Amino acid sequence: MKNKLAYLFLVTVSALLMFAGVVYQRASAQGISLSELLFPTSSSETTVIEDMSISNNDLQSLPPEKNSTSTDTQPQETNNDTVAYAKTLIEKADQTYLTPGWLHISSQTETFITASNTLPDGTLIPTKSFNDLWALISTDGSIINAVTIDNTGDTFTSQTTVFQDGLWTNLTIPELSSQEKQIYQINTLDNGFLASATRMKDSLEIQKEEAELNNQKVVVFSLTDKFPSPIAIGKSSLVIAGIYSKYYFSVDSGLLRMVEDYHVYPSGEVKLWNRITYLTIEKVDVPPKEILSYFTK
Amino acid sequence: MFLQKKFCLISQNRGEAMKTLHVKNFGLALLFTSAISFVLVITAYAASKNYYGLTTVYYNNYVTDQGGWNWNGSYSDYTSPSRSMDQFGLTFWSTYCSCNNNIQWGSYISYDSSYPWMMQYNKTAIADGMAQLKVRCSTGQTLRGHNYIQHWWQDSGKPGDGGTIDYKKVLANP
Repeated sequence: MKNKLAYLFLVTVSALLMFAGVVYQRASAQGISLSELLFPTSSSETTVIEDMSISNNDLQSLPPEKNSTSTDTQPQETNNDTVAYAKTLIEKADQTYLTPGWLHISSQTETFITASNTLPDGTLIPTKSFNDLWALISTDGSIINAVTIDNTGDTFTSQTTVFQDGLWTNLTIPELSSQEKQIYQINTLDNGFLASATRMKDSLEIQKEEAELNNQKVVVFSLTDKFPSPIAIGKSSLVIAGIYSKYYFSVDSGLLRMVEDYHVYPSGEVKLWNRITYLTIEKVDVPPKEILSYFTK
Repeated sequence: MFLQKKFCLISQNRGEAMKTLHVKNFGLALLFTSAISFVLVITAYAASKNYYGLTTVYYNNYVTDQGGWNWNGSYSDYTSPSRSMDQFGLTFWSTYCSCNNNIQWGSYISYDSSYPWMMQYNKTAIADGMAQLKVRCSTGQTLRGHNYIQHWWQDSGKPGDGGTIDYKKVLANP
């Protein structure tokens, strides 16, 4: 009896170990997760922590699309012309400011939809912050030293990161510091506009209009990134069909002055979600002492 | 005779006692080995989970992930994490975006277990933070997606402790 029990036990353990080994090997070989291998993926059950309400007063409509033309090439040329003009403007700014030496960018970020969200400990998520980036650009275009300061007005959520010797150190949350050396490079000051516009110019229309912003002549480029299918935020009633973005560039300097992002709902209505206002973009000979003090000699 | 009987009886009792002791010892050994095997199998199972495509999180383990989830490559700069984690043995997980390694609070989702010794499974985010559908960094800053997972058998919860899963991915370069 005892022998039978022992035998049964050995067989069970061996089978379990073999099973674990085989599954491990299969999962590794296929490069997929074990959960995918064993259990078919299904839609996730998610818990909605917050229902996002949409205020009708805040809803706007997407600007009307231009009438389609009879020729197939005209919309294509229009987008190409727009992108070409934008490129000229942006390159003018990049060539002026992305040169060796210290670059300073100061901006304000406002978020309009997450006003009621909190962090796990109940801390309100900041909806407004001031951001300062000081970056020392080398002759090859890479960044030697940089410091990024996010000031939310609350010491708990404000953060400062320092880039030096290829490593990012978050002085506020050390766990965020990078472990491996990286190359940091600022290729453009357009906040990703040209990359998005180039990607979308064959499928979507890019609109251009002139306006005035803070007594400054600007050209506003806008484009809509529509999702293949609407995305629901958790199980909330909020369903996003795309993002509509507006980029405000100075006509004189080509510098970016403001970016606005809107949620696009399936109805076509939009709501302002996020705005970044650029307060200062400048080249300086020497940053303030308090900025230089972040870097070890 | 009496002594023989007594001796016999003592021997018999001793024999019975020895038998009981053997059975008991065997049972304990069986139980112990089963427990160890179970732990080994579970550890092998969890360790074998492929984290391909996950991103790194460097902050208190709040992650929502479904094993095969990764940053949505269909949309430039967009993140669409789910809010539940189906990895076995999960105690900590978090996800968020960062701009130049400064966490963007609006994108932060997290889960934290008060009982790290429990072998938990399929946990749901309890944080109020909503992962932003899109995070835009100020110009000149690198946007990264972060994903951090810790299991009950891991010790410090920090990257490099031998078990913490820690991934990050650049979503947009300046």
